[in-house]
Amino acid sequence: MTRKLFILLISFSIILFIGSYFAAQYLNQKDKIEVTISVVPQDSKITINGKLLQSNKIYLQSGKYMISVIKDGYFEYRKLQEVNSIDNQISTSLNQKPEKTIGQLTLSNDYNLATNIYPIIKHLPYDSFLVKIAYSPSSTLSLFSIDITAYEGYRKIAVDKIKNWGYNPADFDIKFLKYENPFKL
Amino acid sequence: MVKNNIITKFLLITIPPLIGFGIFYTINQSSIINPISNIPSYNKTYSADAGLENVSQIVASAVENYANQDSSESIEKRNQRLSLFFTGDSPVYKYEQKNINPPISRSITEVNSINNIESEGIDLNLLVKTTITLYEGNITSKINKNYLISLTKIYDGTMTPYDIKESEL
Repeated sequence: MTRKLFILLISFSIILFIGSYFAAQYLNQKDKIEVTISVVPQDSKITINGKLLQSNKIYLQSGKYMISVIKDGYFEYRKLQEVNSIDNQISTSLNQKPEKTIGQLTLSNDYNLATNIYPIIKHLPYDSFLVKIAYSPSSTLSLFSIDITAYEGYRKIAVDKIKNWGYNPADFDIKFLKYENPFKL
Repeated sequence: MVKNNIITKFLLITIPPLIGFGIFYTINQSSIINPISNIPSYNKTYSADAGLENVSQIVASAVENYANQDSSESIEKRNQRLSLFFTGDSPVYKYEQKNINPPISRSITEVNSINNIESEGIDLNLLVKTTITLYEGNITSKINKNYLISLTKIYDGTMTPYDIKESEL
């Protein structure tokens, strides 16, 4: 076999090989509906019947499918969807979950995450007879604040306590709350 | 000699595309998702703690569908069944079928009770007590198993099963 003929045969074979890819695709997509799924945020994961999709375009037979769109920090979109030649577009935007409060994080497995970002949490709540230092109940990882409950004259004690722990009080959003007399009946 | 040459040329042209077609066709076939053919209805009886009326049915269905296992069922079919009850990111799709170690080939589950256990945040944790019938050919045996199931809130506010594990409680 001459070299020229061999190259010709191999080239012809490669062309047929590429053609076989399109032939296989055509056979698999035959009698199916092209379904396009548009989601926001765009990097959400889409599953159909528990199977993760690699792209947002898929060929499906008409029928019912459990469509799920997931992304961390967002509520899952989930729907039993009828797919047919008319209903072949699915679009949704995910709603963000409320951020967990520091209180929720410290009670869960995320305690280390919270203390890594705000090591002062390890000292809180601090409660002496004169001052009380605690993170605000509404504190989250993105909005962290400290409540100091003390008489005006004793507020400095609380601030000094934070300094003693090795932190700069100016780094925190500190709220001074109204002090209540512990002897009050 | 000439005949051999013709055969070689023929094989050079036909074999690579045929192999390619086979590979591409198989890859595409594995990505095919079949529609859900039947959606099971649920009308069995079980006891549930007060306040769980809205979630008890999906919880009972989820636990039964998880614990119902069949060695003849493909992973894809099983995941399709589970996807009706569990969230799309549930780890349940990767779990092994623990109820059907050979020679046991099938397990059928019935939920007896659903109880609330303490949970934090927007999630809900429940304890589900079941009776499972194990099939070993024509021989059957019954065991009791408890499952801890966690539910999470989805976009429309409904609580949906996320994860499940066996519990010693």
